Amino acid sequence: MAAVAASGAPKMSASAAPKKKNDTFNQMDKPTQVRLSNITAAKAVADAIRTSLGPRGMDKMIETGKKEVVISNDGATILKHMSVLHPAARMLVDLSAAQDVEAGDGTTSVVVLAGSLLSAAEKLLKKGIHPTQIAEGFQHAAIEAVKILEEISIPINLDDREFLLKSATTSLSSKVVSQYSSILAPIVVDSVLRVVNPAVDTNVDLNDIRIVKKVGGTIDDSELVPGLVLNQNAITSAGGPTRIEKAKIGLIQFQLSPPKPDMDNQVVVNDYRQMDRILKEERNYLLNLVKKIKKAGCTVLLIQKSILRDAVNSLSLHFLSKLKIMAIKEIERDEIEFICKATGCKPIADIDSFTEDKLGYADLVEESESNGSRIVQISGIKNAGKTASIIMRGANQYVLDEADRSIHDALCVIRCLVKKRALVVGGGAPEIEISQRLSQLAKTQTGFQSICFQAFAEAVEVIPTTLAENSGLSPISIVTELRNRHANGEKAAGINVRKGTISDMLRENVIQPLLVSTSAIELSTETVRMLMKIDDILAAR
Amino acid sequence: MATQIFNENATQERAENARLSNIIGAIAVGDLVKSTLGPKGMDKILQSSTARGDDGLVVTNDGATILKMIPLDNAAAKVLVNISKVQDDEVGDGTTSVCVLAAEILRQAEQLLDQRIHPQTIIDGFRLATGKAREALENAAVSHKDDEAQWREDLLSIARTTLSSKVLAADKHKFAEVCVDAVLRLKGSTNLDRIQIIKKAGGKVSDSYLSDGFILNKKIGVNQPRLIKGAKILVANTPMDTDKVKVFGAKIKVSDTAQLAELERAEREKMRAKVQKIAALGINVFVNRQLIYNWPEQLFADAGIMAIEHADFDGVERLALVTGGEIASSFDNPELIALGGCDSVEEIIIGEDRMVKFNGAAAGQACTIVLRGGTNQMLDEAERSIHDAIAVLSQTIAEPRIVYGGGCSEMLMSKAVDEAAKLVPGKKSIAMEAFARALRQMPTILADNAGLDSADLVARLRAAHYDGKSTSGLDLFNGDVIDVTGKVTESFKLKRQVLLSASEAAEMILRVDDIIRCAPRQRRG
Repeated sequence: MAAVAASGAPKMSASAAPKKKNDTFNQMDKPTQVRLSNITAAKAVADAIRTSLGPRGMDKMIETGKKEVVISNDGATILKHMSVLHPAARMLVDLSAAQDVEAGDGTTSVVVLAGSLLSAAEKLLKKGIHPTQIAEGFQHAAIEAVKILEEISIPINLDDREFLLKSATTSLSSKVVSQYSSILAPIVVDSVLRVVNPAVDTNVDLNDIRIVKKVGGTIDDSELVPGLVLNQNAITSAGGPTRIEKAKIGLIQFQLSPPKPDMDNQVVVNDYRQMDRILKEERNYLLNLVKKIKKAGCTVLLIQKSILRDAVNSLSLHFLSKLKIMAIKEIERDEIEFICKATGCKPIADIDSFTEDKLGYADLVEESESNGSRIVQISGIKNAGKTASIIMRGANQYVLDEADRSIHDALCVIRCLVKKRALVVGGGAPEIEISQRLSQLAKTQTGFQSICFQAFAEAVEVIPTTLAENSGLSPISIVTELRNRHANGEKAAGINVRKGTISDMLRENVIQPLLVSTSAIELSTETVRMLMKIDDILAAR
Repeated sequence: MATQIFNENATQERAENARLSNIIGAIAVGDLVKSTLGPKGMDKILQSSTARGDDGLVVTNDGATILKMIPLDNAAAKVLVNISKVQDDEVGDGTTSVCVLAAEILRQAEQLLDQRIHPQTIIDGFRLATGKAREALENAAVSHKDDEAQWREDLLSIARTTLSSKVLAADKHKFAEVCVDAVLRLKGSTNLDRIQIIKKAGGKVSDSYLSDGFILNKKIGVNQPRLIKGAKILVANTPMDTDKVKVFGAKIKVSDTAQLAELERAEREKMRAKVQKIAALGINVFVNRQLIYNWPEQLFADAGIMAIEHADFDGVERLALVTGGEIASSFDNPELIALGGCDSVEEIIIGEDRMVKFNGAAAGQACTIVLRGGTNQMLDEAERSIHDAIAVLSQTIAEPRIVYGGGCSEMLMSKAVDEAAKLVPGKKSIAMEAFARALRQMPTILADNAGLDSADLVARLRAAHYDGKSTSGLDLFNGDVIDVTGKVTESFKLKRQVLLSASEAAEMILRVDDIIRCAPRQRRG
């Protein structure tokens, strides 16, 4: 009968067919295999970016599918461009992206930490602890770790610019732009302070900070611009002005080109005189528009891009330049809100509503040329909203892109401080502290929880270990020394990467927001828990 | 040599072969999902062979989702997939249990078939058993709807039971509160559209929260008010670019540019008239499904109206539902337009994105669950878990009786069936005993998944039940038999549905004695 059953069995996967003997063994075997393969894949991802951690971390060069080259030290960026296939590895990529959204920085640490936690979990699995128990144990350990972090954190006040500068510098120190951190850190801190009200705000909308990238010059030419910088250039083809003092800025969403109704239309020309008339009328029509603009007192005109028709034509440009109006076209629709906020003007969608009260005022609008690229800068704005513009400069596109990402990370660091106003020291000090306190906690507990706490405690030591490795120090002697110092009560002792020794991180000004550290621990634990709970990978439709 | 009746590629399996192939198929499906059962159940990764990128990767514990996505080539297996789908639609949860129970019943049936018992006899026995089990379940079910505090405690307990087997297990107390609050706002309605779930990557799962009011993932137009109190809302689906003449080939012929300019002006005036008509309704919030162009946007801004463009179909319909308005598309008859209302509309930031929040909506039932989590897979799975919990809760409010989980109900039913079997003469009683064994498999699997000694635990559980402790169940966290009253609660409707669907499906599969597979349609390569 059994033989009949086997031959009559439909096409199901071999493992799924019921077996009478060895049943338990087979059932326990496959999930273990799957779990180990997940752990291996996830660890491979963590190992790939491990070397980019810390101030002495290395960059990665990635050639994308489109043959573009990306050079980056930012974990989230590297992982985003790596085409990872294994499902578990993809979860780690997502993890890094989530840290990017939540904290903006620490995208490498979070993956390295997850990798280390997985190694720890692998050992526990081999001891025969049930995966859900590991997941639970890690969860509790993570909660305790966050409590410890909060305990050793230093509350700050946003008025304390020094502290903000130090945290921005720490974030920038691991990037390619680290030698410029003395220039970039103040830019970052000031731009955030410009857009928030330190007393009430608990979040920063980074959309209010605009970064304009221009190739040419070096990074130390970058600056925080008072006012607004535009990506677009002034149109000078018809000889229009490029510098306007006491400017009145109008932002229009209609077009200075011959009328075009939305319905299909045809202009029927019967004889040659009519042709002349049409040309003349078109001229009049445009002149009329430009005159109305001039009449309202507008001297700088920003024109929104339109996909349906030309924003300006040569004739209207000619009129504009005659009337000494500076014209800038191709403003994107999603820029409108920012520009309005920055200049205090209101968008004008129809010529009839072009009135003076919708204009913004600035002392100077000028297109200047430096280092081979032209930029339009608007300064001395009256009624300016809370926005900030940063001009980034760099020798080539790669440096510029990486600098942009570094600035973004640093901005996020400051944003974290606005969200949660507390700092921890860097240099691996908090991780060692967590590790030590968790080991102590582990001794007070019983059962699997105790083992999980101990494993978690050892796993977080990966951060100082990697920092030391990447700096060319001996990880074993450094980490053991750190343990010793922390055991003696030096909570702020961390790795001084530059000198290759251990020193008080607070005195060395290596500090980072609490939120970056807590979020790294919470998110990586969450992902590890999820990976632990998986016992099968199935092909689906 | 049999005469060929069928098409060349068609196959036929007869009698024993057919029955066994069906049973094996069903058991295989049951085995596939059974490791996801219970609080210590495991998840599965489903990797799509077609879709690439994030769409192709699903991590789930939900039986219905797993079965829906796996391509199967076995008739009986498909029946099980189907009952799990029906369970999902009807009750929302228990999708794994129903499959596993059906498979276990069939596993028992296979052994009876080995003993040369006729399928119809087995079916008769199973039917009797199902009836007895159902009776026992109904007798055990209790309702606390009259006692408000106890009722809420029951709901929370049900939510916790549902969530404890999911990815949200670690925060189940928090999410149980969230789900119960959300469902209680519905005031008995089972229309789950009013509970909106927004997923935002970033943060951790415990950062999720229940927000009273409706959140729309859209932006407010430029220069328009960011906060409106006492909002009167018009939800519309109307073109706000230009009202075009839709007749194909409609064209205007003009003889000069001035006329063209006039036409353009006329179009603008038409739009202005439309905006004025809308503004004349006395609204201060305008939500449109379609785009709003710059010109009307400016007009709305001038009129002090908050205009939100490009709200998708789903958003518009839900918004109309929760604010008590109707979707309007023409504005000539103001008396026909039903406006929605809410206390305030404001712009909020979740994660890095700005959204619009409608507070204190007129219908009063709306709420939004904002889910945060580390990865997209986490968020998707969290959404499925929340959906399951909410579905079960809303069903429980409609049918307030509850039963106890942790293997308690199964053991109760199995005991009732076993006792009834003793009084039934003939072979049917053997089938009934088999059914009781199948029911006892459920606690066995729960214990197995938790890595516990299932044989010992289930025997102790059975002893407890025969000892008259009819509320005994398994404590899978400590590996012990305990009194589960108030600890592990499940909806009566869910359990009944699992029992009935599973036995029905098993019966259906047993009845089959012939499988004819049609030749696949030839595709031209």
